[in-house]
Amino acid sequence: MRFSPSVSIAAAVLYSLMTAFLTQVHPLDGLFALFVLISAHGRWRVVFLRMLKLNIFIVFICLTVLLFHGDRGHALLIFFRANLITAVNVALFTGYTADEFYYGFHALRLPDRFTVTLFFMVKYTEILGKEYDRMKEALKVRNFMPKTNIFTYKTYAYLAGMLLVRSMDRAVRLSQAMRLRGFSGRLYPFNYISFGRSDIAVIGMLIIQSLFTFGGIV
Amino acid sequence: MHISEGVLSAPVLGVTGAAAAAMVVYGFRYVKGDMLAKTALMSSLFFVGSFIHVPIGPSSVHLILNGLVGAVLGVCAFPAIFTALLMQVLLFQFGGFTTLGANTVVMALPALLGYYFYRQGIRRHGIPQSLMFFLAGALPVLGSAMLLAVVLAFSGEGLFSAAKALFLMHIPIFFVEGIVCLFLFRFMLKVYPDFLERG
Repeated sequence: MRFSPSVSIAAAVLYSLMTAFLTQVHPLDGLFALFVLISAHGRWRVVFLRMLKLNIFIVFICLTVLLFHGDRGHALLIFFRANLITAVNVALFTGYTADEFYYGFHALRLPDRFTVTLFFMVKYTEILGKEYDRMKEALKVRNFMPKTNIFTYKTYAYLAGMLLVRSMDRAVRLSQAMRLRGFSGRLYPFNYISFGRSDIAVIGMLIIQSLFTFGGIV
Repeated sequence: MHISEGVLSAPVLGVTGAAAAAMVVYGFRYVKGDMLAKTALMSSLFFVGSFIHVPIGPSSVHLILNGLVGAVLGVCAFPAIFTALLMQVLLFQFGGFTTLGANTVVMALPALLGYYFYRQGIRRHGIPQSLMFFLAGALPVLGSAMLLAVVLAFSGEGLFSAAKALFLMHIPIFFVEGIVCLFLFRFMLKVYPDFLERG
């Protein structure tokens, strides 16, 4: 089951706010997380692998709390809070492209200056990413072997510098082209991602979760 | 280094969230005209920088580049870094929404040191200039490491050891980032002086 990006973003923000401030975690606080994990059917492998990777930092923090301060309760609280929120974020967001997130923010009617910056940032990341891949290939062709020395650091500095030089020219051309076509700080996207039944289900689950968390049902 | 969800205490989340909101709103006031393209570009460079891995001994670290972003953008570094961190939450789930404020403060506030030391550097020549450029890249990383440690330490006594360990882990990055930014600023001054002049 897929949700629209705007609903996914709003749901993830609300669930994060609900869970991050908990001082005790009850099994029912994970109800919404369980729902979105089940709805991520077909992407479970990706979700699982990403959760493993993200748990490196979480486990590191928990271990330092446990080993150096012997505070088992605090370590477990951090572990469960972090994993519940991360699981929801991973299950809701894997599979979306950067463009879809832009449409999501636009649909949430956030200020134009933010959504326009985000739009340009997404477009420039594509340009920079392609340039970076090309330069990396060029370095490989020239048999560049990164080592811990000044030559390597200088090469990386020049690589980042060339990325900026090449991309800035394109960025300026893109913004000039948009200004020529009447751009005045607002974008009008056509590709809205429609609101469906699955979105109603996720909103319903979030309301149920908030009743469990705040309504004293737990 | 991103602080994960669920780690920080409620007061720390509240204070850093409010501080980041004020910084980002203030920064967005200046994001107009040519600065829009530049802010978005530096935001994407900050994003792509996290894929550039530089070797240190047997390990490797990724570039942070908050000093460079600060040197080019000044206060517009706040929205640029915020936007990049937000995209990292959405695309890779690094960090999170409630810790976005803390991560923005940790990364973006020290970026202003990059702006200050870069401005000091362009007024000088030779070794003093190189030193200022080194500091413009290195000190923001040190500032970020210190803020990261402070934010963790204020979230509970239990996180004190993690704060110390994370601060020590950033020391090699301090040197690498300083050296990379030193060469990068000198390269940009030669190849595209206008880019940094208009910051």
